[in-house]
Amino acid sequence: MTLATVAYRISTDVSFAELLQMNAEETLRQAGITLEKAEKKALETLLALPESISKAGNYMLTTEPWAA
Amino acid sequence: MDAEALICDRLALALRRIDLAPSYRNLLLSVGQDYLQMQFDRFKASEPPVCLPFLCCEANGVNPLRAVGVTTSWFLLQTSAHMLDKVEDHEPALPGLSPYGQGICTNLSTGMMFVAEWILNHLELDCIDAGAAWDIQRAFHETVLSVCSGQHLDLSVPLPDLATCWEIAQKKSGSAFGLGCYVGARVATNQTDRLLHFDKFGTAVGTIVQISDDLKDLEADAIKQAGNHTLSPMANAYLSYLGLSGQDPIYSGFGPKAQTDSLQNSLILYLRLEAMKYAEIGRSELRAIPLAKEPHERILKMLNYLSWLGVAVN
Repeated sequence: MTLATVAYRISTDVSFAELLQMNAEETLRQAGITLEKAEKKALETLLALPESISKAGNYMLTTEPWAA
Repeated sequence: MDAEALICDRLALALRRIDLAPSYRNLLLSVGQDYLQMQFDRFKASEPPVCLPFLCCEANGVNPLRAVGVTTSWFLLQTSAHMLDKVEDHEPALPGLSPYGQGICTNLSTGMMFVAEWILNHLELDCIDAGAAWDIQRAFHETVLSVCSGQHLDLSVPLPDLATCWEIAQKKSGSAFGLGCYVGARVATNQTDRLLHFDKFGTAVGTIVQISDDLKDLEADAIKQAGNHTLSPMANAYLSYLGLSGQDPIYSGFGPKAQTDSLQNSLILYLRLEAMKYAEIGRSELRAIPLAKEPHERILKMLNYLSWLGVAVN
């Protein structure tokens, strides 16, 4: 559930999001956030996607075509 | 292999063997076929999740035809649960079912459960030995109870916290998909460690599917914000976790638009990150065991599609 805090900070704190993009590990350490292995991998995957932070959740508010 | 035809044929065979009123038999078959077609139509970039038992069987180096019975039963239970869910939520199940009332839908749902049971009682059609068949039936029964338990929490806890929301997600969709992967692998192997990895992999996939449902609820929240301020349980739990309230004007749409949007986006981003986390958990479960290369890749393709809308993350 720590990811909830990370997502909130990314969406509401521009400087946190920028620092995270530059150096995720150090930024999380300074914020006192410890992620589990799979959570860290998920965040890395997100950060590796183009414009992942600048778009944050904007492009995601679409239900998948397969959702029941 | 035509998975859709194999499932339809097994369903039709079961219905022919049971003494049913023709109209009930026809409706069970047509509703089953419609649900199945819906899944295959929705998935273009990967195989649909209904194929998971086939793939898990094949990934263990065994002909997927051995998994026809367990796949069909699993599909019927999913369909039955979906229909019951709709009845409980007072929503229409399928466009084709709109002329029928809740009573008929509930009775169809019950029928599907017992057709699934009939198929599980005839796994000899797939050359499954009696010991494996017994274990598969046990897994089905225990999982159905776990799903019911999750549904009970979902219906009875008015404002679940975030941890409870994830517990519900794992008990409902998680354990249902864990079952699909377990039984698919079980027709191919009796090695406990391999089966456990498939079960955990399926649980991760099912939780991702539940996240998609939550995203759909968020869409509904966004649409009804202007008039009705009741948020989905996940949205409420997320706000509570952050020390915010669903009644806050910022979230209920009456605050400054930028703030409202950033909160909504953060929740969507959170769910997306959780989906990626579960995808990683799923991948690590499969990495732990040697699998046949081609079906393994097809499973990963499905996982990637489910967790990141078709964007490859491997």
